[in-house]
Amino acid sequence: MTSIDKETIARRVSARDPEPTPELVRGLWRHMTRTYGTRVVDKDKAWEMRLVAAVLARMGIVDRREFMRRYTTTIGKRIYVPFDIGNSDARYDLWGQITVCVHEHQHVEQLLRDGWLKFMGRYLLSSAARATYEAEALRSNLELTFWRFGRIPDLGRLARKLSDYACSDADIAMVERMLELSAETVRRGGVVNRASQKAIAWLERHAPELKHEGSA
Amino acid sequence: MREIMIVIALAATLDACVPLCTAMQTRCNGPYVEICDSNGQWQRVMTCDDVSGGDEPWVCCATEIDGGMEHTCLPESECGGDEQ
Repeated sequence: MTSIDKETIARRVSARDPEPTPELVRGLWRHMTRTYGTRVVDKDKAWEMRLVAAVLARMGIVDRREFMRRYTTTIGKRIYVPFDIGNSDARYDLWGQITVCVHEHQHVEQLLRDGWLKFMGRYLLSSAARATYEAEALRSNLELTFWRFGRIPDLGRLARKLSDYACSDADIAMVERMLELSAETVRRGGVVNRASQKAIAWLERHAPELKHEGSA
Repeated sequence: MREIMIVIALAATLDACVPLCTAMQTRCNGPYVEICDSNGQWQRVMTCDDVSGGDEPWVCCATEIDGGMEHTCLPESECGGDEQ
């Protein structure tokens, strides 16, 4: 293969599947945090997150180290992130950081819609309600995947993420069904979640090349 | 008065425990798509009025998904008058 052939293939690959840039990821986070009045906190440096990690580990819900390294956590309007925004790493690539940004801001939407007391009470006390809140936020993952790739992700796999949230098998099955119902709307070009609507509107202005041609 | 309040609170608590539907059942409740959770309580899946995209309004209606009748938000013209 000549160097010209290689260059042509590289361009074709690049043109077919453009990647988000670090600046884009930082720009979206900036836009969303300004829109919602949220604040990003480095999870590793937050004493309150270390405390939560210890409590969750003691309750046998999640391993302390995993909680600190793998999960982004939103409490109120503070979003605790286990990665450096705009810097891709093994756990969170740049597209993953975009998805997480929208997912967490949908939780903020829930808080604004339901109020502190109802949201926190239901989220902490009822696994079915927690599953419902998470299903709604996971719909943002679905909506963004469809916007970018024009396909519906594996909904069973998405729903199984909730096994880390002390949800029962019945709750997880319900979440999968909820995502299937949402997928019917998304396939037809609908965007349900407000955080997704805001993020997609911004992405269409700043990175239209990322959008899949068939995703309406 | 206090007794009445206690009775109301108890009734509300018991009401929340009484199964109202069969797990995984879905329905339209006005613009809301709802699903029955494992406790037999209706949980909201989405609000069709909130859906953006396309030129027409989105409405909740019954449609066939994987061989069964389910409820979801669809563009009004795809609903075929089978709303609710």
